[in-house]
Amino acid sequence: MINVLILTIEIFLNIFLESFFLNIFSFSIFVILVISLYKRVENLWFFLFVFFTALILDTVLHLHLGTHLLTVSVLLILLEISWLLIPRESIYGIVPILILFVLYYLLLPFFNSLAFAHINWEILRIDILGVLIKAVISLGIYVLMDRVYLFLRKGGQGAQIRLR
Amino acid sequence: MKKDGSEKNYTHLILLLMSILLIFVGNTKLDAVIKYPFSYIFDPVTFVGNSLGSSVSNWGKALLDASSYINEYNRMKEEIASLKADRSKEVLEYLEYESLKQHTQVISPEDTYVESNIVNFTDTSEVLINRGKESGLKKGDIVTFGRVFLGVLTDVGSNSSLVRLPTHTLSTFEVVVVPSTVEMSKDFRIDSAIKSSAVVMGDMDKIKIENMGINSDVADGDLVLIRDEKVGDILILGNLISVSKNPASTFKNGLVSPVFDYTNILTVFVKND
Repeated sequence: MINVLILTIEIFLNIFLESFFLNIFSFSIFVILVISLYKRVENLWFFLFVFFTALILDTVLHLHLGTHLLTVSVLLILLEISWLLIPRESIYGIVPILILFVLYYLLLPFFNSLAFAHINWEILRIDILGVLIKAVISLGIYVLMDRVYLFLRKGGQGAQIRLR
Repeated sequence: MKKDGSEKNYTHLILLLMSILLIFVGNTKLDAVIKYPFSYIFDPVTFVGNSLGSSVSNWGKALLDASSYINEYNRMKEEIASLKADRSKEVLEYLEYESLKQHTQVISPEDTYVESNIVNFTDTSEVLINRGKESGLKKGDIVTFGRVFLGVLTDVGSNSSLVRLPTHTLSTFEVVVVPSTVEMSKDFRIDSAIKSSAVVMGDMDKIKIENMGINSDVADGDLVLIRDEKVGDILILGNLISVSKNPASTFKNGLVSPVFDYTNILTVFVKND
């Protein structure tokens, strides 16, 4: 029951922060959370969180139903593949993450146009510099969250921060 | 999900399947049905998030552009000051022309007057004007505007003088009350029109009138004229208002409303004997 409550609060908070940060810096907190929490929380709760948040984001951002979910699932598949080459815990592990963030900002509008059957290749040529900046900011927040996660999961040695 | 003792994660594949399913559902009429409850619950949350984001974003932009705002503000301040100065000069010139025109229409040609500008109004119903002994003014001279009495010079400097207005507490004059319909022409015979004689006294922001005959038919709106040996000429002070209606009293009293607000005057004329 407590997990349901936590999930509900998480979704509300995520939607609020998503709209807040989209308005300020135009970057998504959702994709950072998805990549950061992947394989770190129970599959069921992760699935529910991603599914409902993606559904709600499609609704409130007036995108085609399933756009966020499709983008995120493609990213997760790519993430699985990238981890075969570069382990998550490796120092180079942030490189595929950066690429995934860039892909997220490119694929989201592309899949949206695709879902509406208005395939618009021009979308892929949107402000690349802006996308890179957003991806770098997202990566910074991701690294920060990663450190916080590791700190909290250090079990009994909370005063120490483990740097890998 | 467990397979051969090791945990296998197929969440991403399930999500992919779900997303494809959702995209197909999104192309049907079910799209609106699914979206409606989420929209109903989460639109306010999004709205609040967007509003806060806009506020922070606007403040951030304003802070980044602070220097340009300051420059713009200073430039506009200078522009406004310049426009005000130009306009006020034109207004003053026009008002001076108007007052001079009005004044020359009603004064008697044999009298001489010194034109003067009002410099300042004091808190004690006095006015500082920009003429003094060098212009031939002396203490006791009468300050007028056309046929309207404005005050008496109480202190004369070399290039400035102090005028005591009728509202000053030390101002007392003998007056007569006449009907408001009388014409103040040159051959005007005042004695035939007098309703009552009286005394006026200043009371800071108003002029009190007392000692009007109890049997006189004075009424609100009647004209109050100064007929005092200190002034010499018969000049207009104002209109009678708030006449008392106490039958037990031996006289009537009331207030005098000046012909115009003294603070609106810019140019006055000092009668030079």
